[in-house]
Amino acid sequence: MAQSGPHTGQITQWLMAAREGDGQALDRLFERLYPELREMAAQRLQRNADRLQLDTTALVHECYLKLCELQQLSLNDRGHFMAYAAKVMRSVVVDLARAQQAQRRGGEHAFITLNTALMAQRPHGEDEVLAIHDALQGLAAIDARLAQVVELRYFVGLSHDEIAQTLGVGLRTVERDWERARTYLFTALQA
Amino acid sequence: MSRAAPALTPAQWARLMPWLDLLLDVPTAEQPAWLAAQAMADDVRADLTQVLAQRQAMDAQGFLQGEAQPGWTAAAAASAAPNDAAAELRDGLFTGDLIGPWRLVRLLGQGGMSVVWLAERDDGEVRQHVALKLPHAGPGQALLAARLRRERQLMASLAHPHIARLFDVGVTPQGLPYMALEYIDGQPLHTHCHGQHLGIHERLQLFLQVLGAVQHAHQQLVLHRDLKPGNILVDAQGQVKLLDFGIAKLIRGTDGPGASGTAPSTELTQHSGQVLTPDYAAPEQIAGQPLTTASDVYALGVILFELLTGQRPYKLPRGTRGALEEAILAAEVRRPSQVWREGDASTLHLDATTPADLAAHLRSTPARLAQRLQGDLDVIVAQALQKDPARRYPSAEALAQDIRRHLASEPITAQPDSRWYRTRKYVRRHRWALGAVAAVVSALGVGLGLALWQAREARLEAAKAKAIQGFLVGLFENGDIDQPDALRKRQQTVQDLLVGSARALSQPMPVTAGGRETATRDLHDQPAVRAELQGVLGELLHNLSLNDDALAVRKARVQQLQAMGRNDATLAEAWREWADSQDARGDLAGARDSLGQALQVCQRLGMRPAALCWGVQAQQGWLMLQGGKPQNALRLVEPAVQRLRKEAPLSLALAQALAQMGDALSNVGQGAAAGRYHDEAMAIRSKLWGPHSVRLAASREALATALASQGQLALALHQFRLSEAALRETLGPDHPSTLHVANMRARLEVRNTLNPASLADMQRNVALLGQRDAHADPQRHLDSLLGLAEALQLSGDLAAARPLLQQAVNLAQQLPQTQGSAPYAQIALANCEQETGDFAAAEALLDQAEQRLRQSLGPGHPTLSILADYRRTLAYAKAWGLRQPWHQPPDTQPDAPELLLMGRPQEALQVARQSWQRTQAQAPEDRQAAQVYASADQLARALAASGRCDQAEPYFLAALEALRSANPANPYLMATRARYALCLRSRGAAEQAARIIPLVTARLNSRHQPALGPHLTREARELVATRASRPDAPPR
Repeated sequence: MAQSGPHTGQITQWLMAAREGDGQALDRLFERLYPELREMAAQRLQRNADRLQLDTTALVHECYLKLCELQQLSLNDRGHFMAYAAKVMRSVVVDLARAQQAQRRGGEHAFITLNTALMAQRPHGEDEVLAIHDALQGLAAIDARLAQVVELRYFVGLSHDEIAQTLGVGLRTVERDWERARTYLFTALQA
Repeated sequence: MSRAAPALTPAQWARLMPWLDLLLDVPTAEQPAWLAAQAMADDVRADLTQVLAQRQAMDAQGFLQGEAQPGWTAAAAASAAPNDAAAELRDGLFTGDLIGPWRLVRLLGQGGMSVVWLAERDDGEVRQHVALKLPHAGPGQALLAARLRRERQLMASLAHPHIARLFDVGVTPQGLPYMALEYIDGQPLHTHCHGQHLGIHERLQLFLQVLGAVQHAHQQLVLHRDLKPGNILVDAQGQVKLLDFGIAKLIRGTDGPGASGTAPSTELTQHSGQVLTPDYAAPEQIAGQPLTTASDVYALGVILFELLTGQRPYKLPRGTRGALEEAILAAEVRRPSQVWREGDASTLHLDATTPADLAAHLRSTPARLAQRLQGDLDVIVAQALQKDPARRYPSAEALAQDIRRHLASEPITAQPDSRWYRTRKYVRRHRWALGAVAAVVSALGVGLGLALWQAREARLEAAKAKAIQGFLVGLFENGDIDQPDALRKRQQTVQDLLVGSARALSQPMPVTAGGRETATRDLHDQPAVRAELQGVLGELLHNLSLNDDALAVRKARVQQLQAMGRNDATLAEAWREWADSQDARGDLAGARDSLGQALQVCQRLGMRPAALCWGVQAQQGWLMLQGGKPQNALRLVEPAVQRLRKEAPLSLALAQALAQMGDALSNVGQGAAAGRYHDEAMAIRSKLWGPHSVRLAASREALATALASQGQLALALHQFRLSEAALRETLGPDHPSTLHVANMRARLEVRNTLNPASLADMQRNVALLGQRDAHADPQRHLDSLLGLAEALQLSGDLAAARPLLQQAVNLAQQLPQTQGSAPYAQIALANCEQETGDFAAAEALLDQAEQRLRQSLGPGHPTLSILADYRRTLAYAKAWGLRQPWHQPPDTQPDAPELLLMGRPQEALQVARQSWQRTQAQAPEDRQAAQVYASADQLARALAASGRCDQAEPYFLAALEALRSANPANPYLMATRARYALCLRSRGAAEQAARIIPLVTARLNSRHQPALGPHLTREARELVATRASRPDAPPR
């Protein structure tokens, strides 16, 4: 929608190049996916009391289908696509969470009163998202795959099965990875 | 709840991770034994033991367990998805196959992911024909099934005579999903109108049907997003049917066999075989911005244009998608009547090669059609095709109404281009720059404005100066702006002048013979001068937010310089400026490309001049930030900052790069470092523009607002104060702009310490602004009312706050431009009503506000959760004040007062301590008095409820201290004192209590103050009631 790119299998090409370490291809990929996912996400974000609700799994799948339909992506590339789309989705979610946080804290219509003063201190959905995002950067420095597993599970909501397929590792490996990552995040969020 | 265990370093983690991997395969009960048995360093073992303990706590809390995370939900709700297990899926489908209750009759068409068959129902009832959509077999079919299910929900809510209906959706036993839609035996809209030789009137009637359908969908909150004539069929009864609200094309004649001789739809295949064409896409769609009903209106505008002219709105200079996108974003659309007058042949229909032919299909001639379309229809189409969505018809219904008015020969509401709108918008955006620009502008207008040009003349040759003069004179005399009356000409705003001259300078070199005069007048014979003027005008227009015009002239400048063979810094600058205008219009992709071009030129020049070239790189970094890649942004901006510091230390380019660095750092959570960069940027701007410049003040205000929203009160105040001082110096102490910044500053001061002097400032300012501001800028007036009301209420003067809030609500509701703020005013008023005990009124206001907010903002907006918080506070007030039972709202974590309500004082204490610690962790200059008060008071209450009144005392005092500058009648002073007194009494300090009680009763019984809600007076009443009878009653 936002980008030109009429070549068949354009995304597929970028995915292949990105896997081989082509930084530019990764940038292009990001550029192509980010605005679209961001727009879809912003429109579908829901709130339920303290929680944000966003069906990111569906969003990423829908994006994938759309690209297949446009013939910019081939059906076989789903695994590769997911891995990168998860990164983009993470950016989108963090972006939305920050915007929510800013709005809530001091949006143009913020109105402070004595009795609602403590409301601002209640933890809300977006606070956790941002905390996880920050902690994930530390985790990535220790073990990149663990961070990837978190991206795929927390930000895109894939099942362990799907994560295993995407990363090309065994199911049990994914389960252990998730537990290790989760442990790290828990301690990181305590600080 | 942080434990005492020290955090592990990354190195420690790196060491223990592989061990943890192995450990996780060991059953939990055996883990300690296993651990003891392994050969590893002692400190690693110690770390692992610690980690295992953490895991226990983690599981106990359920951290990140299950599908739904506490913060948010990533996975879809439990889906009744067809089993993914390897079910054999039939690929080949044949006539006669049964899919659910539908029997396949004939293949209608194919899309990328699915196939569409004509099918009929076969169960002995009335024969019903449908178009049955089936996904292709293969991987991803389950996903498609899920998608169809979602679309089904979409379609099911759209029941309208002009929208194709969805009859059925389901899954076969083999797991094959299908969707049965109303089968439309008809032709695409344009084909029908063309083939039937429908005149303008009939075409408009059909179009009204389309509008009715789209309006219906919009009311159901469904956007089409892909409106095009291919999705609009006309059936055998001549009725319009809208298809494809997100689903595949059901057009006969595309690709599939069996089409009965209708002409293929040219729209779909015209551009490189892509299914999605940008022809009907609105500018904001192409720029990747969110879509609204206005985007559908745009597509409808294009369709209307085609109906009335048989052609596209944009000429395609190079026939590529990129050029088309560029046209949609930047170029002006021709008027329909113009198209007939100019006689074009780029028609939609293959069988009409000349304008006369084409006109015949409208039962008319080109000349008559030009006449017919001139006026109303030209204007209606132009309004629907406005590039700025806010300027289009707000809805399909609005467009339909104007068309009906036209058909009934009544006046339409659409206005040809309104200058007033632009001026207003400029005024709001650049309130303070008005002073500076006004000076420039009057220099141009008065006495043919040579003052401005004299400065430049020093650098230009005399001949060139004459050319410019002649150009300006020509603008007045040749009537570019069509005002025949000489007197009116003089009164023209200079803005018209600028826009007119920009247009002239954007025109390409005319080739016709009669254009020689134009060539001289438009400075085509003086390319260097022309380029220079384009530069100056581009900047002026950009600062006036006339982005379309700025874009056009800046683009023309790039082309001009290229035509002149220039490949130097000027060209780089021209690319850079064009990028700025593209950015201003939200065209990030275009801006990126233009900056790329600028950088190429710069690199060829060895990155000189430094200010320009490194500024371009910094700007690229900033675009990365907009595109969601802060790390990339830093990588680009940081070296640019280094180089600029060395080579252009006192330049605006460096200032901008520093500010961009600050933004990038804020984005990755490094607020402190960000602050330093912003300070440095401001220091440079202060040196360049002067410390009292209005531009600098505007810059500071923007920064201050951002800081305030991040909770950096002290830094925000600092910037506001500097801004205020500058404006006071330059514009005067009573200028509206000065007063407004003063109000913002004062509002933050009141939030910080409840400073009565700041409150007095605000009262004075609002009174001064009062009358004139209310008319000049209602939005700003509204903000100042709300600001003052907040300050008054914080201080405790409910009596004064309430009428202001009521005034704000009334004002917001009256005017269309402020209606968006009405819900916020209502929320604030609701809170005030609650404090005076009128719970019913508060409830009603919150309901109204919620309704409005849901309509305009959609369900995900943070304001709705703020509203939910207010409701929760109201519910709490009712429960506490009226002793009603309390029900914790679902999906929420209770805070301390709520826990006390539920009789859980220990937990309340825990939560209250954490909250107090958080408040204390903030620097005093950043704290809000309300927060300090609330956290201190709650901790004191929790301690008292746990029977530790002795420990509560310092917190009661801290709470009262936080309100020391408040209005003495502040109800919260009374409430906290009452609680304190009850506490003192319960531990036997009757004398101390006796000193406080009179203060409480004075406020409780005061007749001069407004009544208070029962939640505020509960303890005070208890104090009074038990004074005589039971002096030793335990506190609540």
